[in-house]
Amino acid sequence: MASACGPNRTATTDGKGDQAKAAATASATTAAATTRAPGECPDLSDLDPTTLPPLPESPYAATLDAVWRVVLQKHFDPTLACLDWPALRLEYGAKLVDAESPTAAYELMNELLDKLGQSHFKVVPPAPADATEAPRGGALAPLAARLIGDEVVVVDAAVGGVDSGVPQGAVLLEVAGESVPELVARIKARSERPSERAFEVSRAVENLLSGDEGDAIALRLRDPKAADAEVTREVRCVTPAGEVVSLGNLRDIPTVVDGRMIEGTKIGYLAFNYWMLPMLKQVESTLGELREAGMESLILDLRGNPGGVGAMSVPLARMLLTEGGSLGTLKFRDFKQDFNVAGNPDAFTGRLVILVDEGTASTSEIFATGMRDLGRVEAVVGGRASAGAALPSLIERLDGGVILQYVVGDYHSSKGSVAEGDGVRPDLLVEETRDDFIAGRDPVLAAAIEALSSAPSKN
Amino acid sequence: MTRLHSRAGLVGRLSSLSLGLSLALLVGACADSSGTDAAAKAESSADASADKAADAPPKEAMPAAEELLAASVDALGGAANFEAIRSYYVESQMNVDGLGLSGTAQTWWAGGDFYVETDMPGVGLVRLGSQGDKIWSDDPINGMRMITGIEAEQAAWSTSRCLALDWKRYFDSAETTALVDGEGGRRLAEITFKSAGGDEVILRLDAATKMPVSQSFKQANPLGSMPVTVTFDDFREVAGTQVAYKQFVDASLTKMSSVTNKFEVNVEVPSDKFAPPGPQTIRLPDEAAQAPDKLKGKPDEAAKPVASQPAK
Repeated sequence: MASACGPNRTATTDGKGDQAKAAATASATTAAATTRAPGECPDLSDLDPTTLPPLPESPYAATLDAVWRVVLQKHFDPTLACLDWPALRLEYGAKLVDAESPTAAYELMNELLDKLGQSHFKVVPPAPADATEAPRGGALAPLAARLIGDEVVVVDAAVGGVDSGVPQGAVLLEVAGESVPELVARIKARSERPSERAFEVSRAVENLLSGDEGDAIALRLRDPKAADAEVTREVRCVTPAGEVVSLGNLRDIPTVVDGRMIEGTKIGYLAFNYWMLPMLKQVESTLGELREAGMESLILDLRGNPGGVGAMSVPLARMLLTEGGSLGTLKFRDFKQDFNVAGNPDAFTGRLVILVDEGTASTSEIFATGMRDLGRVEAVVGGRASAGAALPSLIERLDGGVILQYVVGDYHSSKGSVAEGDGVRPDLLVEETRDDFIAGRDPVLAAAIEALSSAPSKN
Repeated sequence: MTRLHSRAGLVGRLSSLSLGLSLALLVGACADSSGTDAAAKAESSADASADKAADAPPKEAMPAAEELLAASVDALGGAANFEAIRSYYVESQMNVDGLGLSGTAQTWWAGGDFYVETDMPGVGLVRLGSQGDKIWSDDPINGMRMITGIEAEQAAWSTSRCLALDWKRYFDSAETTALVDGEGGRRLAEITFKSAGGDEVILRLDAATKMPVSQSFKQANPLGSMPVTVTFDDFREVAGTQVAYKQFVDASLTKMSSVTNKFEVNVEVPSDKFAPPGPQTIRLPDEAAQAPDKLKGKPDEAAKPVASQPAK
């Protein structure tokens, strides 16, 4: 996509900056309505960006223009949500002139993308200034924390067999010097949906809990083992176990596949943390081992799985479908693709339950939605809906190391269901409380086991 | 309780593009020498070209397709030189602009049979082969399967020594459908090939030199089809023929390039190179796989396990 993101004619070294700023300001004020009236949504496919006025001079004008152009040319909707995209370009070009820092500039660019009202849009600067915005290294503190109620609770005290020493059920108050309640408040202020809010909080906290192997991260927390007294702890980052996979600009993804029989039952449990094609063999072999162990029902745990390569949903579905079907349709601007799955006579035919949470996103949501609409899933079980971030996207490196993730397609299941926005709503909604985690319980998993331990629903 | 660590950050979906694009590179073995002419800008998709054909000058004003194709074969080195190529082996490097994806491709061809192996880190090994009238594919997404229909037709013509020479092997008709302006003021002749199965390919020739410039088609895959335009560049002489060492692929959402590193002709190819790997059961095409009852009543030869062959 060099043509979309290379140096462009809006670079402001031509002495026309003031004129451009004036034009931009005029446009932003007099043509302030950047959302068009219904029925007045022109197709912007043929808009030639070279005919547009230059952006006002600023260090970020070229990046804004590159981002703006990629969206113009690649988004599946040629009307761009009926926004006046050219006017927004000028409006935000003018705003960037007054940006006081790189952080402020990139916030403005993301604000522009937010106007499209969809997930999977993000501009990431080459070196994010905000530690909550990106991982600080390839290693992670071996604990998992989620938003439970209004608090960030440690839901797993050990990850990958490494004990963090932090008690399960602890409430995180401060991570690496960052106030967690303030972080939650900031995210709540900008996120409308509960799942979106919880997803953003988990992501931000996880970024704070990252670093290089052996890095120490200071925590302040309320310790349930000490009558909720505030204590400090130090945890060290460890490199996650499992094969590290890269795919293009997705670099060094630590992949983990976990499978086991639930003790005392004929229920198998399968989880994997990303959808990356090299994981397929291990997923398939794990499923095979569970079947050999006498598995009659399967719990597929997609909690915390943020997606990856969408096409991996096809071979996984083939392991679970004896009859062919479609997981849904991806509609791009110029073409569409159907997630056709050929039937597999050797597929696992037992009962299937899928677990979701706010960290279940993208391909995980498409898989859950598609399989449910094919009638293959007995129940989706979770404490809240999935992230609602289910649109196909690409991740592109622009000039200067800026990373842009952008939506390229729309998704509908075979029954027309969408996962974007409201997410995958559980059929069986389970209340999760901090007390559950203090007691070492996983109420969602317990509910799934209970559901599979009773007679199948006639529905 | 076990939860797996994931990074939510920028992980999203790449849909099936990686695979589709890697297959998109298996296009055309002969073509133009005209630099980055980007005829794709003139015609970015088969659809667009078809639409424009309606506005093109009257048909009688355009040169006949067969004449143009014969002239193109001559420009590319002549039929005799192509006919003398009994087999070839090609190595190439692929890169997807901006997405950081890259990979390698190796192609063996002999007497119309072919075997193509594409390896893209993070995607895996994609294999495509043909022996006689059986065309098979093995990839991480769709697994091992026999392919048919337009997808099979495209696999076959994409490895042709020279489409302008061999087109009758793959298509029922060729018609000059438009004369359009390309970059740099060049006049391009568009020739539309149509197969009985419905495949349609538009080949653009430089009207003056008759060298191939680009070709557009809708690439079929198990998920549907996507418009693709391939532009040819960096022609070099190989055994008296002109071969495009660079190909630029515009696949709507992504652009990628393929650069040939090695091109050898009349190489020895092991006799078992083109056969489907085995032993294993090869899945039928989707339409058959989705109708298992029909198959139970009338087994298809392709559904039988393939005889054991050495793994590739």
